Amino acid sequence: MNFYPQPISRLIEEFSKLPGVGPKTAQRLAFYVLNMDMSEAEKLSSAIINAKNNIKYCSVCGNLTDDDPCIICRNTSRDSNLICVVEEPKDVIAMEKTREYKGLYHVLHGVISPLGGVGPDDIRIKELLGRITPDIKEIIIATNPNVEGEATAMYIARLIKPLGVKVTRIAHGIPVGADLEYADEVTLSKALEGRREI
Amino acid sequence: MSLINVQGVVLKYIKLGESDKIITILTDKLGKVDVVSHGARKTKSKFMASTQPFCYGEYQLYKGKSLYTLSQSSIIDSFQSIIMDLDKLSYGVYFLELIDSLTENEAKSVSMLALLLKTLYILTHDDVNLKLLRLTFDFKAISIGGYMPQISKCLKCGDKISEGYFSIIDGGTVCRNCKDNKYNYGINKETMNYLHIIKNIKLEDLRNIKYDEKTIDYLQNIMTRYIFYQTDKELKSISLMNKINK
Repeated sequence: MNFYPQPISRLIEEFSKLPGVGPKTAQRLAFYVLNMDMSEAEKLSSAIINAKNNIKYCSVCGNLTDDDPCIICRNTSRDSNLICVVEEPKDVIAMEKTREYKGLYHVLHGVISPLGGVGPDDIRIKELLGRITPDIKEIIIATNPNVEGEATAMYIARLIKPLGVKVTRIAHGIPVGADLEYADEVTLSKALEGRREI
Repeated sequence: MSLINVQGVVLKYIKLGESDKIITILTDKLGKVDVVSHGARKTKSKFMASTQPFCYGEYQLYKGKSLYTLSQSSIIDSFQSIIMDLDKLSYGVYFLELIDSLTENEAKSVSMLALLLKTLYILTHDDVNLKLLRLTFDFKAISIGGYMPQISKCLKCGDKISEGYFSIIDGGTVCRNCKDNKYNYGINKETMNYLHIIKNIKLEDLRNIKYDEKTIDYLQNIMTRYIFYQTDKELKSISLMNKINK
């Protein structure tokens, strides 16, 4: 039985479609929106519409942008000989937060998943190959360190290496601040493999 | 809440919510089970590596309303050398998917687990021909799964035969006189001999046998069609395996 007037129940229904939002949270969000000033509610709705209308994928790297090419691809002070390959646009944000990386990106929009039926033709690998010019010095593959991420990394490396471009993989190991005794054997052995001299 | 300790291999996983996973493990005591692993996708989770496909480990579970929940885990072998080799990985994923399609949830199958482990270890350590390993694995897996093809005798008249046809529908060999439908593939003496070898050979002896690549390809084509006919499931990993190893 529906106890709410139709506009409220519709709002609750729409909120509950969001990831991680259950019916209780959706209800709380709906009542919060109802108690907002009209101007605040309008700002929220126009922000959603504005983002939906203006955000598209960069034609070069595939990252989310409002201007094509995106701000990173347009930036001439970045190292255009270096491309970091990531799975999703949110991985670009994670890499940018490090403030260490000054090259360009390539977003695959997925990974090769043999069990999920996602093949190399379903993600943006062809577009990556199209970006490889003699000027490119290194391709850094920053896919997740799981079976799908490794499969994708190895597949890309197999295609790019014959072109004479250096292909590297981000290091795997112990997270900063973690305790060694709680690290599993696989992570520890990867950390040992990738050790460096100090 | 009673805790159950099992050993098993992770066959696959699906994402659940923001940071959880449901993993499918082929275990020694419970057969194939779906297990919720809370927080397994978080960077600092203790379950991160032990819930990856291929991982062979000891898992402590407790039974919830419908699914099991993972309480503790320790890795016995994570088969990293398979994961870090694209050719081996494509075959390994296929082995996991075939086992998944041939087993029912919570139906005990220690022999299926033993076959999978032995195959994964051979894939890791031995310099064995991958096509030959796949064909032999297919034959042994479908046999354990209850679909063992009958060879050497005609399925219809019972006559002993050294050549004839393999009938996908009947699940074995038939003689020239009994061949009665279009899903038949010719089997000559040499091919029949290979079928016998594959049926009887131990996986660890595979590297010692001489093989003809064309015959292996021909038999694999029959075997793939036979598995599809029996299980009615198209294995997603086959297309990647074919693409990588063409």
